[in-house]
Amino acid sequence: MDSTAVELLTPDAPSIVQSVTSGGIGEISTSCPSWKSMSPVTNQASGNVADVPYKPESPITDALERLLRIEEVGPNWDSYGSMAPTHLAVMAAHCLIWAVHMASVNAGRGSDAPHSILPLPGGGIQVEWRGEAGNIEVEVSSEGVLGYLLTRGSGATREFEERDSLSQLQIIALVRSVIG
Amino acid sequence: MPIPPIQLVDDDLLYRRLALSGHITPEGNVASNAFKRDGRPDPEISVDLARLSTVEASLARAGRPGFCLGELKVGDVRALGLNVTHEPTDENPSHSCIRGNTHRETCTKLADITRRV
Repeated sequence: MDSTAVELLTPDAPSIVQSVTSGGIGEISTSCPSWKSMSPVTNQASGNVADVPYKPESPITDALERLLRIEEVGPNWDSYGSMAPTHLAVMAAHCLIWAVHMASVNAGRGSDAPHSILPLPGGGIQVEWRGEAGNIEVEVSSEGVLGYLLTRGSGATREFEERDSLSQLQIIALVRSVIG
Repeated sequence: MPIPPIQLVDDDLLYRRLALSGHITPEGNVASNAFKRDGRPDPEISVDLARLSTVEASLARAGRPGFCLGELKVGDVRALGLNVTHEPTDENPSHSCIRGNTHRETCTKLADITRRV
C-alpha cells in the first residue's frame, strides 16, 4: 500500500495503528498492517496479547477477516472456470479497506467498513461501500489494478459513473465522497 | 450434433448459476459480479434456456453443491439493450448466450432483474 495515503488526506491526524512487537505494543504506524501484526491485536491497552485468540470485534476486523478467507473459495469457485482471488488482489484490497477505514477514523467518523467483499471472476476482488450519497463498487483486479462503478440515486433516476486504472488515493477520495 | 437453435421470445426464462460463496450480497440479493468474467463485464454470458432445462439439471452442471440459480426474463434482458440467443451444444442443449454486456452499469442492472430460484 501507499503508506502515505492516509497522511495525505489527514496530515495532522494522530496515528492510531499499533503494531505488536515481541509480545507487546510497539511502534506506531499508519501503514497497512500485515497479516501477522493484525492477528493477535485485541482491545487491550497493554500486556502480552500474543496468546489471546483473535476474534473479530468490530465491522472493520470482521471485514478484514472475511477478506482473508476469500482466497479459500478456490479455483472454479463460480463454476464458469474462474481462478481464485490472487494473493496480490487480496493484499491490494486489504490495504484499500484499511486506508479508507483509517481516513474515516482520523476524520472523526469512526469506522467505515465495506458493505460487501466478494470474489471477482478472473482472480480479483469486488468491494462495495454504501452511503447516503450512493454506493461504489471497487474492483481490484488479479494484478491489483483498481476500477470502480459509482451509483448515485435510486430507481429510474440512478446515475452511473465508471472508470478503470485509478490510483488508490483517487479511489479513497471517491469512496469518501459516497460514505460522507 | 447439437439440436438446432430455437427462436427465443420475451417471455422465455434463463437460468444463471450463482455461487453461494461469491455471487450473493449480504442481503441475499444477486451481486453484479455474477455477470463479470476476467475482472470485466462478461460480453458473452452463458445461461441455460429454462424451457429446455430444469433447475436440477442446470445446478448439476456445476458438478458440486454450493450453488443456486438466478432467473432472468429474456424481455428484461433485451430491454437493457442486450442480445440473447439460443446456442445449444452437445453437452448442453439449453445453452444460451447474452451478448453485449460491456459496462459495469449493465452488470448491476442484470443483477437487479435476476430473481433467485
